[in-house]
Amino acid sequence: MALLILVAVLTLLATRSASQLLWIVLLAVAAVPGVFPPRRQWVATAGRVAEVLLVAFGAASVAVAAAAAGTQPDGFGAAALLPYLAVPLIAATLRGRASEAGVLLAAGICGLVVAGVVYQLNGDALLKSVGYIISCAQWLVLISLGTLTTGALQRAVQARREPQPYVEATRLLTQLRTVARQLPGATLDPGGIAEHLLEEVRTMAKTDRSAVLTAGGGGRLMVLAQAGLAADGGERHDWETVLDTDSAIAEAWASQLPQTSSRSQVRGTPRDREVSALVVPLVAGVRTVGLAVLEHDGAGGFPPAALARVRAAADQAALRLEAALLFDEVRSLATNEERQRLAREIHDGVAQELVIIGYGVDNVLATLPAGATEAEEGLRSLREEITRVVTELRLSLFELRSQVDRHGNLTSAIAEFARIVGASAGLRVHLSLDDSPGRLPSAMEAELLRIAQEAITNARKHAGASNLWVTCSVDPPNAHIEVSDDGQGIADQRVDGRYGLAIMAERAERIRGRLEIRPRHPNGTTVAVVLGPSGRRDSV
Amino acid sequence: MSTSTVPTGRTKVLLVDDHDLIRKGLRHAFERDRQFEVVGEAGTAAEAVRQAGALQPDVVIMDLRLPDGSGLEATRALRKASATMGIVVLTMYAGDDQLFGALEAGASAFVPKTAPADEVVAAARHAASAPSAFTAADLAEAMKRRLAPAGPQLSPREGQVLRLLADGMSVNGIAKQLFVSESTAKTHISKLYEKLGAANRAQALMTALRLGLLEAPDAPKF
Repeated sequence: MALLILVAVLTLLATRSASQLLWIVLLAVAAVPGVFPPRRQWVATAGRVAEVLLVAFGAASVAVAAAAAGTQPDGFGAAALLPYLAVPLIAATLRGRASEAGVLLAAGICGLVVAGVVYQLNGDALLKSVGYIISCAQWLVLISLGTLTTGALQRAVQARREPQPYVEATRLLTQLRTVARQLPGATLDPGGIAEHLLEEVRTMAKTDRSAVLTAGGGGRLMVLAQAGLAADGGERHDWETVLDTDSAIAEAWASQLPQTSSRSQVRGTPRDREVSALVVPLVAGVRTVGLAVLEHDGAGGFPPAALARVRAAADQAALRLEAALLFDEVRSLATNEERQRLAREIHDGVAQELVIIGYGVDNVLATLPAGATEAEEGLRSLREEITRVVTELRLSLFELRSQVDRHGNLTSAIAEFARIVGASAGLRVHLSLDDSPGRLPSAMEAELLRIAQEAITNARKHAGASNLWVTCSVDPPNAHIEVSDDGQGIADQRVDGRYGLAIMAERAERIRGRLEIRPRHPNGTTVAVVLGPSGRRDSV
Repeated sequence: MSTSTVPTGRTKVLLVDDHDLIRKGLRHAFERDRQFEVVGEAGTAAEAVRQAGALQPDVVIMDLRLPDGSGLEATRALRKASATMGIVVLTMYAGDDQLFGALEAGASAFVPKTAPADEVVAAARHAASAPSAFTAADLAEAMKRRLAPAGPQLSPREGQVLRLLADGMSVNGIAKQLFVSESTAKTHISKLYEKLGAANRAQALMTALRLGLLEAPDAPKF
């Protein structure tokens, strides 16, 4: 603004005529989009281009007028308006558009040349007058230098501020904390979000079967949620989860574009069955988070209008799903790390101290004088007690440290735990395992392992059993884990805290599973956790 | 720390544990036994390797978790340097991984820290006389556990399907036998193939035989 007034005064001084102030007015108009930034970037850019061209032609016009007025002969009058050229150039630089500033500079030079040809001074082209060329060159150099300096200064100032990624990360994490505190547990639950999406799309298109898949381990997808009956009327769908096949699922995952197919995405469906399938990728940012697969028994199930609606719903769900998956991963990483730390602390601290006390008792026992039978008896039972406590601690450490291996799987982790714990307690362990190549989300696997561990530990500690049965069948998104013993049962035991029942129930709830605790016939207890449709049917 | 290297005819013992009270407890136990003489103590893995080189003990009692690294690494280093040194691995950790880790590192014996001091001494006696014969209280059980089911886990239904496939039945036949629809039978079969990493029936049956999921068809079936 100040510059605008300055060039107005200079123009007046040079030309002694108010008519040239028209250029100033035009420049003020062209400056408007730059001062009040419009929503569209190109409007501001166009404003700046107009400013540059106006300055060029205005400068030529003022030069001619000044020569006519006799104040600045030989075209030096152009210097009155040229300083304003700095405004659009520096504005573009400050907005971080260095290349636009370059283009503006070039446009300015072209404009000055063209204006120099168009305007006449003393019957010849203005461009041929020395004064015009000198003042143009002078100001162009000055303004270029000014623009470059501004850009460098701006970068230096930005670099000295807080590192941007941390600011952004802090902001997002704070937001996440707020969200995680305000919402009930289920809203950041991947399975719940997936099921909600399926319910939503079922109202948008004719759908006989549907599923939401997300990335599992080893180049495979895993089923987060599914709905509808399989083609053969059964409840099981064997969705195509391998990514290196030529299915529409693999195609949609790789291309991030919706795919339609006339072939079912359920493995083992006969080729001649008439099916229309739609696979919509769930894309959050640039990452494919998952896929929504819809199938209709019949041709032409998904017209463009339905496809658009499903896409819109999928886009919305994608971000929610990504947030939930990330949140789960962060939580499970943090929990695991804390468990490992706790294990190290117990191992290096109280556990070793108990071992020291044990060895101390051993040494006293060995050096007792003959005949001190009473003392010996007392010490022996003390040593037994110490051994029992250390064994207990050792198993707690084992429980804290064991986790579902990235390369192993849930069933083998549970089986190993049952075998080791069973062996240490003299329990006969009967395993019945059925795993599938698919994997559950790691957070779910971790919770299921913890529930199984708690149940097995209960059987060992409190049941006084001689047999332990562990049944473990995992078929994502379904899972069924059952731990039974033939001990005294829990009817006559305290059912509170000590049994960790509340913790198991809480864990089951977190993964939307159902925990069942019932007496086993004829004696003992069965603890089961069920994940999947059969598990939710009677709880709904 | 004692550094006596006078030849006494006794079995020389080096104690490695980062808790000096544990070393003290074990030292008492060994000193009560006329066969042994504790020649040195170490609190870190590096110190253990250095002392073992300098003192040439007959037996090293090695804790698995040391401040500067794993006792397994130290065990491996000691075993590489001497084939006749007895190495008793001592640990608080449960789990077969620890036991087999000690076996593979070349230890002579494996004793949990729950065991009384006398058992450590007994293990050292074994290690001194037979350094290359690994012993552990739980060894047989652990072996059994490790040998148990290594391959894929089949559901009972998949086991049935596998046996019917081995009998040469068609998909249709299997479906009828199991009272399920043909597509359900196909699903079972494709899942079975996937678990066995097989592309066809012949591969699936070969893999199943190799993994012991099927009995070799030596006896005539009919």
